[in-house]
Amino acid sequence: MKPMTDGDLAIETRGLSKRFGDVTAVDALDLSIRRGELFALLGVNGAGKTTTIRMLTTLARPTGGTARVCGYDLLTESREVKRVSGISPQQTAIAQGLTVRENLMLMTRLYGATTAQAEERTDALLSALSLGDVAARRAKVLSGGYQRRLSIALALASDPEVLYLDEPTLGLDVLARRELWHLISRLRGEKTIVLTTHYLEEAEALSDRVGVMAGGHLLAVDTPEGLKKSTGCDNFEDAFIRLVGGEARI
Amino acid sequence: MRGLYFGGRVTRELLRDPLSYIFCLCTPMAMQLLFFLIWYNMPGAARENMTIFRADTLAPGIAYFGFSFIMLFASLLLSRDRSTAFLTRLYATPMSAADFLIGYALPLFVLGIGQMILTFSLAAILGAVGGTPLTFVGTLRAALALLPSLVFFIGVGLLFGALLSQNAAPGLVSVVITLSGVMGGVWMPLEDMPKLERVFSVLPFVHGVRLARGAYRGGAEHFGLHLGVTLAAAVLAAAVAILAMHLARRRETR
Repeated sequence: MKPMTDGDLAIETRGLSKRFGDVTAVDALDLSIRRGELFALLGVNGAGKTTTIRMLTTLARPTGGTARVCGYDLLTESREVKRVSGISPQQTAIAQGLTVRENLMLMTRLYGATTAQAEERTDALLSALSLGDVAARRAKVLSGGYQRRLSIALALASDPEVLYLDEPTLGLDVLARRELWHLISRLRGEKTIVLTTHYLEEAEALSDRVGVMAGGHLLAVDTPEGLKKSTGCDNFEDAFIRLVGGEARI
Repeated sequence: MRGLYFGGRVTRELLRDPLSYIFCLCTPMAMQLLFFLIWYNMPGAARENMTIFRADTLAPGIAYFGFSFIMLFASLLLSRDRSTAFLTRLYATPMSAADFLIGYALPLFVLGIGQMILTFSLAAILGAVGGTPLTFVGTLRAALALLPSLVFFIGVGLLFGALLSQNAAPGLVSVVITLSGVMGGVWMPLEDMPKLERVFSVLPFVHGVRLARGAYRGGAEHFGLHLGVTLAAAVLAAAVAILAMHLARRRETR
């Protein structure tokens, strides 16, 4: 890979930290993610993945360090950071009583679109995320897979440059998970995607690069193949276990 | 404008929830009809003495009590949005604190006014049947006097919604609903129970009901006190609700 310059970067953090009282959730995170890259944050529970995403989307205020998202400073240009970011949280976070179309219209309008722009964007998202068949259905009657798709569509409503997917396939059956993988793969290259997941095969199949976190620390960043090589493991799961077990550090 | 778009969503959710019709419309109407029928079927002398169930006295009280169900919906909406993380998603949008406040409060305010119009419309029919027709001017005065109480109940509902979980909020709100009916003297002649009346006067419910009834009649004993307490309660509830929503946002985004 060619060396990264500032213009190539969608996300750059320097010493980004978050403490809750005595607990350090994220400790001095230094991370660079290229534009158009699909970057997976992997880690066991409490590793700091979700807190990292919450900080990068302005949902949590860092207690130390700095970060830039698409060139905008996280602390001093939070409005611009919100404009270029879209998040699909761990919970589906949809308006249950609205239809799929109404959910999308609402979100696009909240980001400042006119009615005509919102309708155009909504139609595009319904098509891109294969939600057209359920557009008139209320969100609360959708299957888990469709609810997740809608959640991702809502994150894309503002046409963000960076898309954050926090455990997007959590609780889905294997078929729904595979469908979502295809969907995420289609978005690859169009958007910078930051994905957190517990599923190692998901990270391996989808990601350009993987960051492994444990205890608030970033232990390693590399391609899935690179991580296997650097840990001397034949498969990705062994590489991950070796890393979080502390046998290898970057 | 964002607040209005969000208010459109809240309105849709309210109109699509069958419980809105059961609690906000059917319950106050059914109560009004029931109390009127009791009054209407009393023997002559008893009916003369039981003025609290007359349509023109009952309607302002029932309209006040009906607002307590608006409070229930305010708490349910906000606590549900918090528990499903929908609010977290909205916090990541450019919505301001004022947008959230307008989005939640405005549809509830309009719903409350609609509920009040229906309550007085039914009261007009019942009043005509019972020989105590409502006056238009009196009804208008009572409706205006009820508006601060509507603000009060929306404020308390949003306060509970911002502080409590989806499971805890309805339970606590039910207690306030009961208190507002009983302590407000909606269907109880509190003036015949002076000791109880003094105790109940500590809370704003009796003042809100008497303000509305007094406004209908064009004046009442201690009208200024009732007006002062009701306005103060509305301002305080609105201020505390705004603070609680602000703190809830800070807690979610700390």
